[in-house]
Amino acid sequence: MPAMPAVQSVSDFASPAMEVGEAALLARVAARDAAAFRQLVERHAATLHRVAWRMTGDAHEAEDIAQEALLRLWDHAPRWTEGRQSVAAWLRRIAINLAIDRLRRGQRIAGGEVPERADEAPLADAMLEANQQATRARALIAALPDRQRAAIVLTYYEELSNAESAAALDMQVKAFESLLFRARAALKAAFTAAGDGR
Amino acid sequence: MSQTDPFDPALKALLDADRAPSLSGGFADRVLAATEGRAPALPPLRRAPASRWRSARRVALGLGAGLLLSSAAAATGMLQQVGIVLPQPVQKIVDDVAQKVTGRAPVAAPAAAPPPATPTLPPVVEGPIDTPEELDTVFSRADARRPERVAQRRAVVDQRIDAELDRRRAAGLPVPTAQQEAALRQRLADARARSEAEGEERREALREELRQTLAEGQPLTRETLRQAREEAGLAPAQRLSPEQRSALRQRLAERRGLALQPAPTQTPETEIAP
Repeated sequence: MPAMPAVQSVSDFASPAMEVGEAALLARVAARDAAAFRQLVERHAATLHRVAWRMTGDAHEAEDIAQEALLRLWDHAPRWTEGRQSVAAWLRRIAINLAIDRLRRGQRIAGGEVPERADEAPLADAMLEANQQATRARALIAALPDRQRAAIVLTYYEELSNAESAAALDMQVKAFESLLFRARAALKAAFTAAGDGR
Repeated sequence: MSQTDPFDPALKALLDADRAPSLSGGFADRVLAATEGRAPALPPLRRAPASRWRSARRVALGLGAGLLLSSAAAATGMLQQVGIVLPQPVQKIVDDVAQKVTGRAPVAAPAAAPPPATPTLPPVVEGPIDTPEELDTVFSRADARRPERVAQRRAVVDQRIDAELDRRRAAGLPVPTAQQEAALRQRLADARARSEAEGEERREALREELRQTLAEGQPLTRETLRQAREEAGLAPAQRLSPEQRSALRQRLAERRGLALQPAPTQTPETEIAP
């Protein structure tokens, strides 16, 4: 798993006990308890940022998306319906939607091309230059259509089940499986076309 | 990554080489700071999609309403009037329930009229008619269809008379009294009987001519029959041109030995087949 171990979230596979804990936290957040909200932020921020980064390929954009998703949780907490879905699943869905929205907005502005923005962080920039493999991997993922990209990010990188991924994309599982099949085929084809598959 | 990844090792190695950066420091603080003074969320503009329970409740209400309406229709005999006959046990239950609810005996629906007997029509003769048997088949077919057509025309005439009476009543115009109306209808019935008798006479004469034509070895076609009907005044007047109608009136008047009168306002009923 390529994710950074230090920020790996465990909330995606929330146990019933954890859900109970999250329900209590959400109740406190609904009462505008900043400490409770901080706990939720620390628990989910890394996952959201990681998903958003893999979707957009931009660290700053990813932080914006993660922050916006968490702020929506803050707004939504008083109306939270307990038991419908986990906080992690809800946040993932928000983040994926925000990412897709921003990608589409970017496509409109750029006339159909996703802008390849260089990461401004010197360290990340150096890492990219040093690691040609990572650059090629990102190019392969970025070449996929938005929802296919989301399918690969959620199932491959985030190791979510098809059901969880389908929920994040607001799709039926069968439809998601079809999407995932197409995404994998497209990824393999791009990999082969780039000459990496030989 | 999952054990069931469909990617080959080279692709997996490439994908795994791409590692996500970590969050910048102080992210949680920035998020918490952003909550300060944040306006409360607006209520949703649209209602949330119906939950399963709400959908099920709507379905149940719809079914209940439909059941009530159909029960009421069954109890008032409306279903039978439109030709829907409930099974006897179901009708009994409906009647019992309706009696308990309304305290009145269920309305006995008028006995449904038996479906009109569809006469078995003789077969259509294809091609020219060149034997007496085929000609008789054509005549039989026309005879079998005539009663229904006559009834339809009479129904249309009756309907027009009723509509005109209703219109006059609604407009406050004088309408015939019951005795006058009865006399008018009697005159109409007499005219119909007279017209049918004349038609029958003309029809029989025409048929005799056609039999004679056939006996002389001339086959009869549909076109021959149509022209013969028109010349004998047996074709539907609606299908004739104004000139043909005028000629028809002339011939009929001459046949009756009467002077040509101005065009009648009502088309005489004529049979459409010889």
